[in-house]
Amino acid sequence: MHELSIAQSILDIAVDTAMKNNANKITRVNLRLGEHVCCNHDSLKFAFSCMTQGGMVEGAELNITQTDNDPFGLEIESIEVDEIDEGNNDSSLGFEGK
Amino acid sequence: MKVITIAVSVLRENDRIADENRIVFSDNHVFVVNIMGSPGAGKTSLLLKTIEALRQEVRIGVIEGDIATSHDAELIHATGVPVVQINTQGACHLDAMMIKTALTHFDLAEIDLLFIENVGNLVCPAGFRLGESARVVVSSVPEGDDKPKKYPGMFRVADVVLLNKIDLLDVFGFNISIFKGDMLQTNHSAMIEIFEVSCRTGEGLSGWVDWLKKVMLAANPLLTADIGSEPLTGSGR
Ligand SMILES: Nc1nc2c(ncn2[C@@H]2O[C@H](COP(=O)(O)OP(=O)(O)OP(=O)(O)O)[C@@H](O)[C@H]2O)c(=O)[nH]1
Ligand SMILES: [Mg+2]
Repeated sequence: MHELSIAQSILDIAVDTAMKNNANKITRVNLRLGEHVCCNHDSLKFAFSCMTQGGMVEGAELNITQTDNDPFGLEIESIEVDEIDEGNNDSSLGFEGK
Repeated sequence: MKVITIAVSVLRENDRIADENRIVFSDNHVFVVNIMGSPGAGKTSLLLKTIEALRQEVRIGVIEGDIATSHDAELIHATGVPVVQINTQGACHLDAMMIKTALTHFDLAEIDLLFIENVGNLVCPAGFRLGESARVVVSSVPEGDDKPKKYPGMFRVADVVLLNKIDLLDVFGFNISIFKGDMLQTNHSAMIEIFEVSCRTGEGLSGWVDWLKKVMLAANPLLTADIGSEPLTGSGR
C-alpha cells in the first residue's frame, strides 16, 4: 500500500549517492527485497516509473531481486550511473568499475 | 557506465528515528506497546479494558493512529488518560517520525506505559519500527482462523498475539488449534505468547494484563513499588 513512499525513499537515496559521486544520470537501481517486506514488486516498479519521468533519473530501471537472507530487508544494493567525472571519486563509497 | 555500491536500507531513515525514539523512551523509563491488527479487531476495546485494569498501578498514555477522525482518541480521553490522536491523512501505517512528533505533546516523565494504537491494517504497520518495547497483534474471531497463514508478515513480528472476541467462537466456527498451529509455524520466537480473550466479557484478559506487568517490571525494576502490590490510593509517585 505504501509503495509510493518507498519508491520516493529509494530515489532520494539514489540521487543523493549519484550526486556525491559526480554522476549526472542514473540508469538503473538494484534493489534487494526480503520475502516478508509488504511491498508488491509490480506496484513498486509502477510507482518508480511514474517518478522517473524526467531529470537525472529519467527512464531509470528498477531491478528487484528477492532475497532469503534477510526476510525483512529492503536494501539498495547499488546504482548504475553514467558520466562520472573520474577525477572526483568518493572512495568511501566503494566503486566497482564495469 | 559505473556501478556504485550502496548497500543501505531504504527504511534507514525510519529506523534511525525509531532508534532515537527508543532512547527517549528508555531515558524516561517508558514502556511502549505498539498495538497492531485489522480494522475492527478490537484494539481500542482492548486499550479501554487494559487502562481500566492497570490505571491504579501505572501511569498510562496513549497515541491513537487512524487515517481519519479522532473517534478512538475521544473514547480514550473519556477515561482521563492522556491521549494524542495522529491522523495519517491516508497513510496505511504509523512511522517513527509521526511518533516522534506526537511525543512532544506528552510529559514522558509522568508516564510509565505508552500504548500506540496503529492504523487498522494487517500488512503495512509490520514493516515500520517505532522504537517500541513490545509489539502486540490483535486478531479477532470473525476474521477467521486462517489469518496467521494469510498475513504471515504481521504475525511474524509479534511479541504477543491476542485472539479477541472468543465469545463468538461458536458463531463463526473458529478453530483455535488451526489458528495457533499456523501462528507457531509463522513466528519462531521462543518467547511468543498467545492469549485468548474477549473484550466484551472480560474473559482471558487477566493473562494479558499479568504478562504486561511482568515485561514492564523486567524492563524497569523501579516500578516494583507499585506493580503487584495493592493498588495505590494516593496520587502515585
Ligand atoms: N463480541 C465482541 N465484540 C467485540 C469484542 N471486542 C471488540 N468488539 C467489538 O468490535 C468492534 C470493533 O472494536 P474496536 O475496539 O473499535 O476495534 P479496533 O481494532 O480499535 O478498530 P479500528 O480502530 O477501526 O481499526 C466494536 O463494535 C466492539 O464493540 C469482543 O471481545 N467480543
Ligand atoms: Mg480503534
